[in-house]
Amino acid sequence: MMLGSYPSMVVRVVSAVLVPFMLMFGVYIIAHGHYGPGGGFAGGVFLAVGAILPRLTLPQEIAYRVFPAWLGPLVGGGGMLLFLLVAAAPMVAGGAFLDYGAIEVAGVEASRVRYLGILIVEVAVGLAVFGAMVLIFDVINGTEPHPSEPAPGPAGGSDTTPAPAGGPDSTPAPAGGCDSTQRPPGGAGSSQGGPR
Amino acid sequence: MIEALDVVLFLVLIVAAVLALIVRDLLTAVAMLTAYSLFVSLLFAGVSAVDVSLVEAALGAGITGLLLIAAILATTRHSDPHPDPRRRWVVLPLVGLFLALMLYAATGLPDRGDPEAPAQLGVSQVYITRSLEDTETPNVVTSLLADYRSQDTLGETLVILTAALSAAMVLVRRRDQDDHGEHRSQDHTEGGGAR
Repeated sequence: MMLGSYPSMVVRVVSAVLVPFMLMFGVYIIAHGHYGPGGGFAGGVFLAVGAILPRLTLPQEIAYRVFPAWLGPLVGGGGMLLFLLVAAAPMVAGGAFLDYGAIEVAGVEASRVRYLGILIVEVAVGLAVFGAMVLIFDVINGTEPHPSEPAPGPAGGSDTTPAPAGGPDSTPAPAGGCDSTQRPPGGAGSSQGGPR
Repeated sequence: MIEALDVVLFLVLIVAAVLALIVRDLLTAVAMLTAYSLFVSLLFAGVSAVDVSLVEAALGAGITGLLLIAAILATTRHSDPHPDPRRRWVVLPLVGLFLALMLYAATGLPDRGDPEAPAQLGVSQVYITRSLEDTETPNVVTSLLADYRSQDTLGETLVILTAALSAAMVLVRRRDQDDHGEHRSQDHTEGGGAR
């Protein structure tokens, strides 16, 4: 409904420029959790915002090419799986659940193993939070799981044009969708011009 | 100086919360909630809880507002008028009672940074004194969350993922109801116009 190219070019350009920095900041927050504020939760959220912002502002085929819709469930489940594997690994080594120090690595002290265990857990939490947030956003917006295949048929035709041409073309779409409560004609425009 | 800042932040908090409840435009309400979370995170930073502050800024002021905006764009932007004005004569005394209860409970809390507080007397001393040599992690909060109490973190991560999957299960049914994109969009527009 509101997904798609935002009418203002300033918003599109600024969000496109900001996204890489958001992602980098998210990775930094996850990786820097040992030495400063941060960790998996906050870093995963930053990553998720970096993935969601293009869906709100940029043309659909670009946003979903960079961050496909299947990324949410896959990355989220993968992060959770990684966490569970790290949690269960010490049990194989004879330790307790989640007791990373029980894993004996030659030449590495137990405290260092726990340090690395914390790092892996933070990454796993970050991935799980990223996937969960992207999945929530996608289902709220009712996105198709593979929007690139069904969308170009009836509704996505106007959106397959490149961004400079698609921008003005689909300009009434988001604006109409925004005010669809007040102006039903605008809403109808959004349903035709919108990607879905 | 810092306490004066605290007072100002608390006043801004209350104003933001009340405004978020009063305004008819839901987008403005979301903006108010986002501002509320931002000032809460400032208050957390003021009591040296930088980790909590960062998470509050990212979750409360960042992604929650984003998800709420997405929900507004998917539904409607204006809240319904109040159903029955007499309802406030039930709600207001309840809110006042709850406020009095919370204030009464707050008087029994230990002071901030009190070394004799119950929370400081248990295992937390061990965590604080030993975390560096145990885990080589300077940030105690991280070693607490991901090592000593990693089972809590495991549970939290499970909860977040379960919440996302539940939302997917509830909301994704909308897609199954119709296979034709045009029909679906028309339904949505009619629904939006009727509201």
